[in-house]
Amino acid sequence: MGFFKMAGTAFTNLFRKPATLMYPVRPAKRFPNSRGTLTIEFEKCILCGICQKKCPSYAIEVDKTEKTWKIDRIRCISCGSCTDWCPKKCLHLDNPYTAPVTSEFKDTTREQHTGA
Amino acid sequence: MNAKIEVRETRLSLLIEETLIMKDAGYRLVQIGCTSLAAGSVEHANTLELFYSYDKNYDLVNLKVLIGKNAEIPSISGIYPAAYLYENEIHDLFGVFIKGMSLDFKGNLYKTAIPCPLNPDFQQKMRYIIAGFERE
Amino acid sequence: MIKQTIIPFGPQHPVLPEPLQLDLVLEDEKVVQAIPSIGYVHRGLETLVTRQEYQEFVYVAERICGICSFIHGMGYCQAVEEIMKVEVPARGVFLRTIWAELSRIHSHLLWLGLAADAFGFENLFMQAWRIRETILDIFEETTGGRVIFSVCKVGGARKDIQPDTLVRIGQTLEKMKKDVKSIEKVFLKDNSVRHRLAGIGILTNEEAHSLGAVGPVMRASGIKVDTRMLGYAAYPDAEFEIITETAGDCYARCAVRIHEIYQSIDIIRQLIPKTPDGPVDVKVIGAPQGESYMRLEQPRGEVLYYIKANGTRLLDRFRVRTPTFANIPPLVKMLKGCDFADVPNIILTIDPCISCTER
Repeated sequence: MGFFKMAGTAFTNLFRKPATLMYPVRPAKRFPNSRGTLTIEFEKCILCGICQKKCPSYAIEVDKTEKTWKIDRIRCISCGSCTDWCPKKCLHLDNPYTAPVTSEFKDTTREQHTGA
Repeated sequence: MNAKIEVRETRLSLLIEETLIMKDAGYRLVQIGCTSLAAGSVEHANTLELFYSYDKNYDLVNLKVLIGKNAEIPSISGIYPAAYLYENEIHDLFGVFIKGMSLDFKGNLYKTAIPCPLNPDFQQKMRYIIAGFERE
Repeated sequence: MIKQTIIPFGPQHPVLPEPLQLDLVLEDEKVVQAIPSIGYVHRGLETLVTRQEYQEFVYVAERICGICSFIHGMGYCQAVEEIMKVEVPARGVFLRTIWAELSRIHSHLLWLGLAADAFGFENLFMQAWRIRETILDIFEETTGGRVIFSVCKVGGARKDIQPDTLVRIGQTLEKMKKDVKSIEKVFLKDNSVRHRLAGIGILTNEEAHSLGAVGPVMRASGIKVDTRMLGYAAYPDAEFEIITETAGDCYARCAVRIHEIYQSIDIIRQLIPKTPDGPVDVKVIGAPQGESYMRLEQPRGEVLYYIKANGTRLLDRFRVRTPTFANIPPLVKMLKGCDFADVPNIILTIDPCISCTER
């Protein structure tokens, strides 16, 4: 049975650095392995459609006749399933996290690549 | 450690008897679940399968009961008091009628947009509430 | 005849992490009866099994809960691997077990913070969560995410940990023990904290057995059962004992969880030198057929996974019985006869994870 058991911890707490970061003024703490945004090297893409079948949240749309590859950024959960299954290895999960947007315009949240 | 998993089939009329045997032997109720067998084969359309799981000293014993469309199941909450929560969930998700539950929510435990979503052959109206709302 | 009043507790309450409703019948500040009511977060995750292929369903199974997310994914993968008779390589098994034990440490530290917040000790809440940040940094460094890892798949693990990182994890955990000791002192020995916890919400041995309690709630009432003794994953290679207390009140449940943190650190330090080299996963082709029952030990208790497969890539039925679902009838029993001011404390000692309860 004791009194003032927290006093020691509370006193040393006065002299420690804060445990929180002033985000977004300071950048967030990221590690090399952290999962962020999905990027594609569109020149290597053969439009096979495997990434569309394997996406668990139906975020990717591949159209072979029109030669487009579309992604809906809000639906993407950065799981990396498409990256594992792509036969040409043209999809990568980059480190920086998608920056927040303030309005849901189609060109800011849905991305499209055409051509090839 | 070698833990056994045993699966036994039984009939609806012997359910209370078998539960009393389990209780006297000192088993603990683990869960009560339900599966719809309609997707498996044609002769199993409109059949549901209830399974009761018991545990003692790391051995798992499962009792399976096949029931038809308008079956009435006796509740085991007189023997195992904690069973009312599992039985209410089965009533809400599958449309099975269980009589004698110690605490009966009358279909209000989970409020889903369509009644009895996990049962593909659900055609009867729910007995208590949402009158006039039928699945197509 | 004393007049009875009914006061609803929840579904929104500052002390609850997730919505849970209890209608309390009171007689002059003593609770006479409590009627539980759940269903506010029901998302119907069990129906998604009929639409997603079994390999992609791991991502849905992980998202059943945010705190115990890794063990849900691991349990699903183990159940499917048992049906398909897939042998996961030894390194994959060891890495999964290390992540599962780290998950247990972070969940108990989160609970300690919430329990301190429930009786008003905000400084202790912040200190517990500050210690938890070291574990979340380990997660982000090895798996890429802080809360949802996405690192378990049918057939093994998706990422590997380098040997020097493993050694560094062991050293970080050893340094963390000192910080955990400093908050253990406050929880177990301080006079005012003990006044709030001891003798409240008593659950006797017979009641715990007949009502089907699981996890630390059961072990604090004297029943010596731990599902890790079944011998799944890499647990046969580690030596540990089951931690029990006999009092059955809130203080005993707090003590069981604190001692389990030390035990998990010990298990991880035993497993790190024994981790073998080799691949972490194996390729899985085909579709499962059959059914399987798999039981694991989550931080909150025993969880049961039942999978029924019919030979196609879409499973037939996936049923999860989570530990908080089994702990609600004991909670209703504990609330009888307690003071009205102790109700938030007692609800938090079963560690309610309502999004697990109602998938």
